[in-house]
Amino acid sequence: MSQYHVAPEDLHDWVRGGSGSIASMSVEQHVARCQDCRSDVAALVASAPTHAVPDLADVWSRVRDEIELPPASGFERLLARLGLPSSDATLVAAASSWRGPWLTALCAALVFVAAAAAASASDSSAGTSLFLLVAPLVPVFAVALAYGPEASGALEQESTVPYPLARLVFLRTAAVLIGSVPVVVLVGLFLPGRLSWLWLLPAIGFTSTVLGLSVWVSPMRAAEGITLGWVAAVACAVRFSTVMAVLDGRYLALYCVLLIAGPITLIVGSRRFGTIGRIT
Amino acid sequence: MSTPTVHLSGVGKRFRGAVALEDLDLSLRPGITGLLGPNGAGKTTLLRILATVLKADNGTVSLLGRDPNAPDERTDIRRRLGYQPQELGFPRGFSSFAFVNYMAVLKEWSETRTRQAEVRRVLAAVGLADIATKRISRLSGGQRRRVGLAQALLGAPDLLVLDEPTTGLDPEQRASLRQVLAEIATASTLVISTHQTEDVAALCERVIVLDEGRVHFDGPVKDLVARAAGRVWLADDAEPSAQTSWRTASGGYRNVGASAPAGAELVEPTLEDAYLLLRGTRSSESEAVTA
Amino acid sequence: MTARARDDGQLLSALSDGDMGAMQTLYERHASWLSVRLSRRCNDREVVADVLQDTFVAVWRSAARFRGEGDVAAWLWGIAIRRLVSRLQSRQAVIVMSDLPEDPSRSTLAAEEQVLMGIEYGDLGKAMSRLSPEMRAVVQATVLDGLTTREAARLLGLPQNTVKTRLHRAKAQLRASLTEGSS
Repeated sequence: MSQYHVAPEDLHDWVRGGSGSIASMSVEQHVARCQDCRSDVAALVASAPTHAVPDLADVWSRVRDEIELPPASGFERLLARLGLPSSDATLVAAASSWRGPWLTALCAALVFVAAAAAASASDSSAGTSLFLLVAPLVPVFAVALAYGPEASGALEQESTVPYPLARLVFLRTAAVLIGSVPVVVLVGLFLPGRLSWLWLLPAIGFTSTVLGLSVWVSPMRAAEGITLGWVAAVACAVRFSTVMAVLDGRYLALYCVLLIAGPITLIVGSRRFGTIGRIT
Repeated sequence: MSTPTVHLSGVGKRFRGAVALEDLDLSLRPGITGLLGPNGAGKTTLLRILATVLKADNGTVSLLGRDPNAPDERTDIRRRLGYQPQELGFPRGFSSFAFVNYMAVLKEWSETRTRQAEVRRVLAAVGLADIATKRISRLSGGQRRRVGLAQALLGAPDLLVLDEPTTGLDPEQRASLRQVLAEIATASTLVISTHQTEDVAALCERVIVLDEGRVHFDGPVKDLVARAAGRVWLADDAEPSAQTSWRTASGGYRNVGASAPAGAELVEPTLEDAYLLLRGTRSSESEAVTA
Repeated sequence: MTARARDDGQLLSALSDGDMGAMQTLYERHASWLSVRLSRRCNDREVVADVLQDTFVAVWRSAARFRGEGDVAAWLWGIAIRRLVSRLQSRQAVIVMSDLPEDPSRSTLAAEEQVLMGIEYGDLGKAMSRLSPEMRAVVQATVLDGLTTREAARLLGLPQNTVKTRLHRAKAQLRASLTEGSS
């Protein structure tokens, strides 16, 4: 490392924009390698602002603002474009750590179901049964995995905030459903007749049930319970008549009741108890 | 006399049949109150009730002049409340800044610029400004505790409930924490639970001693210390009549007991001595001395 | 001020770990000279501010990738100049070719420049001073700033072929000056 340093006047000229191109090349090549001269430059810039050089303190605070929070994921940006206020998007992001493994599992399940449905194209009842078994449970597990205060890990602190907890849950549920339901709907379109959209009723009904039950039990427990019940129902239908029996009129009415009762239970319950989920 | 910030009367709480709190009476005003007691005494349960996380099974609770059982009043309380739980739970992959920012949104800081400024303020107050962008999962236990404290400080709450804020902190960190809390205590009501009597002695004006869900002492720290006057003495050996004794650095024994033998070398009692005495006597009548 | 200040490499590894204090120190050390050097290639203050911001955000996000090869300052400049180039692609910004017209009253300065160049580059400096400003700009952009001919073309607002030709001629001229000088 040479002992050569740029003479103060030349450095001064360079900072003020007044030096010729050769001199500035020389200065620049040196400054890029010499910490002492860089400090001198910093001192010069600080002592008297030059019109060409920006306000460094201002740029620093902009840099800090940008890096303090992690960059918004593609999903959050999508939500923002759909009109969601940025503070709400932050709340949704807290559950996003679950989305990765969830989405993988979802895709795997769907590929499996689609393959099964395609394989049994001639005799569609096996494929239909499989689809009817799996499809309504997809949003149920999506919500159970990703929406609850437990999912963010911060349940205890979240129970002391003025923000309405039911709203928090609905926000996350909606975000998760937007991410998972369209895919299932797309797969459903390949199936014949009413099945292609009628399965949505038990799907949403069960999802609402998870929401409602979350006042008392953890959403995963609720999801597991619903899964057991649904598997039993589909099994019975297949055994004793056709699988479409689960979509009979009276059951449709039941799903509609669940659909309405769930959110109401959640709203009323969270207001009464002031918290969601269990804290022991 | 101004109305107390916190007022509990006849409060009880059970978990699966086991009694956590029983017939608790409590009144708190602005300033710092320490909560002492062994594990399982009910400290965390009491703090959770103060933080509106749990509801009392019976009795009346009034926080900041409002009833936490009424949903709208509870929301009002929560707007002026800060709570640091014993265990910090946080979303995976979040940095301290992101987490405190998240809590700030939940505390109704909806405007981005003011919110980020407030997040920076509380993180600086607990000394985490430089590492605010580090993942919480990479922080030490003491640093995580400070993140928990930072989010509790959001919005300068009138009621601050801290569950073991000094656990896992080294002496330097404890000292700076005490400074932070002392500044807040001028206008707010702080309740701090701790295992360390030194924290209470250094920081608190009042102390509540809890055991098996009941209040065993409630009053100024100096009153509790005064109870041990004349009951702490030095000797060459451990006295069998003493309740507790231990070897001191100088080689003698420090004895704490119901009464010192005649002519014994008495020493100034510390809060720790008084606390040990109190635990030892396990007095059945609850002596609530309200100041 | 700590007794032993961290060097740039240490700052980089600290900030790749999330240390905001290290980030701020790095900014305070380098923002000034980077912005001066940038402003000599683009005299739009807003663009320079944006480029500076982009540069340091990029540093924050990619500090782990630095891996200690070479000089931190040079790495920072590499990021900054490329940010400038990509911004100038999308915006109409006035670029100034840093040069002053020959001014008789500055003839003494010319001699001093030569001395400067003499110390830094020796004969090369003299040879450079004999190039036309256009060729000098191309040499600066490619050789000194480390840009590709394509990036240099964007920076200077020229077609790529023009840049290639000028660079070729400049190098030939420099070679000629240097061999001439040594004989």
